[in-house]
Amino acid sequence: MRVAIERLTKVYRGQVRALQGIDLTIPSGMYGLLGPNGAGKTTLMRILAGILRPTSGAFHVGALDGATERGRTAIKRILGYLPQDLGMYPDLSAREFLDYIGILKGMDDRKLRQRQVEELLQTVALTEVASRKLKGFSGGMKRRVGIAQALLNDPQLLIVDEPTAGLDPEERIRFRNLLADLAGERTVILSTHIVEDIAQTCERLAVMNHGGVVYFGGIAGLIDQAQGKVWTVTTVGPKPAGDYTVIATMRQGAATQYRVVGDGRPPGAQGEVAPVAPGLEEAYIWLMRDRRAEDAVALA
Amino acid sequence: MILSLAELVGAARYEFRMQVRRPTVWIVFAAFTGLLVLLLNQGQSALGPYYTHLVAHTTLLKALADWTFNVNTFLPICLGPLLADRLPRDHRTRVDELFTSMPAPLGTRLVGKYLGALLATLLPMLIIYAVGVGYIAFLARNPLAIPLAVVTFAAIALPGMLFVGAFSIACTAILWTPLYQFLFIGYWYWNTLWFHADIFNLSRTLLSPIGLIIVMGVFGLNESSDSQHVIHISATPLQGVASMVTLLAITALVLFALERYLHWRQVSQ
Repeated sequence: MRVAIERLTKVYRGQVRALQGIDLTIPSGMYGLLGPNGAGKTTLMRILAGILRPTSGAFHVGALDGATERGRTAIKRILGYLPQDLGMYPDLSAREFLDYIGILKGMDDRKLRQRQVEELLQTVALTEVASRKLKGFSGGMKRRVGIAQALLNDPQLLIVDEPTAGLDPEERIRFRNLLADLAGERTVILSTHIVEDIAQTCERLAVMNHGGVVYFGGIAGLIDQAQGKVWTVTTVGPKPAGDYTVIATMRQGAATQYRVVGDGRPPGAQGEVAPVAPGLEEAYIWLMRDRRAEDAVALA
Repeated sequence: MILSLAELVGAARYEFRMQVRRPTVWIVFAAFTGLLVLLLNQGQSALGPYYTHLVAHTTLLKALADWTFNVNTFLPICLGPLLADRLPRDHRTRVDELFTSMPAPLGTRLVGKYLGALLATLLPMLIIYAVGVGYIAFLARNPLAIPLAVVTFAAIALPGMLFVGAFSIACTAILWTPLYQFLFIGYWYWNTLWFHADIFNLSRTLLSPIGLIIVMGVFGLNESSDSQHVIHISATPLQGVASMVTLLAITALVLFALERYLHWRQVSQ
């Protein structure tokens, strides 16, 4: 299920330009959407989910046109959405809440709906606590309810916005594995500012900043751009001088090892400075340094 | 305004469930009823002697209409404030964004919320009403009291309660909930309980939510000298029916306007 976005713009009241003419094609499978806070990721997700209307531009989910009321309703029928701020009725149990969501998603067959609710509770490992009220759930448990409700109508398009925010490492890994298992014929758009989540699950991604797309393509291509830009500097002295972004700092006895991103070899003695292979996080940092939306780079 | 029946019934069912589980709903009605019984159940106005006299000297239907009118005059002062937070609650719990991403139309969710929450909030009122009906049935030794009580409730109380419910759900889309609750109680006191005011009062018009025109016009309560209500108006049966229709029509209009307003607010974000 391909998602095609054409010149999408969103200007909020007060002339806040959240999206600036975005063009993007999202293929089936896991697709990452990366960017800092305020980049426009959530605005884009809300437009695709039919919660916000764009100021201009268009988008299609398969053959469905998001510009029309009928198209938006049809998209919602095949959509699973896990918002950044997941809301729930605290007085309902997990089972009741999922059943209510199933009704609102048009699952009129009661037996089928209840069967799917039970299956999903099992998938997210919440069967034991399904009758407990949601107000007694931890953050991780609520997130699991969230992913369960997003999967309720077996959606063709799954949009998850910052799904692992606030989760402990085990919960995050469980979540990522679950999302990766769901991709395939589905299109799963994972919007996050946590690079590791995308690195572990996606092959392709788009990077957003200031309402525009600054990169779209394969993760390998993004990493390639940062080749020769990542260094370790081991020193007993101060941080490396110059235009470098420090990614990591680690004490090693009397010395400190800095992992930096920057153009050109950092100053330092021969043994102190060494080039290293970049990871996605360093590639992202390198990309975000002084890049502007009109410098979008597409790599096949 | 698009409505989908299965989704409407489902939404109503869950809204009913959530509202009926609120201890506040039951505590408020119980406390207010207890207070009323203490304050009003004295001397010649004491309920027992009053209804004993009424049942003996008038028809069963009029006695039930009188009881329905009494219940509908006082208890809705609890109903309005208890319904007022149902819509803002969706924003407070942040479910509104999630629900907007679903294919169920806004109108369906809204009407489901309205019907489910209203029915749940009416439940304590219905129980109190039923206690009175049971007492009148006992006094009259007539089981017909029960089906007649259904008729009087549907005719006298229900149009007004639907009307009050619609405004209570709708007004908090634009008003701060505690302010609405305060204004509602003030309105109810001035416009409904203060019968002897010489200034204009909506209770004496077709828009009377306590069913004054209905109970006078359709059930002829003003013709009964045994009723304790000292009300200096009269109404015809046609006016009574017109009052019912007006209340129901305005209810539908308010819900429609609310749906349009919420739709506009969503689109203009």
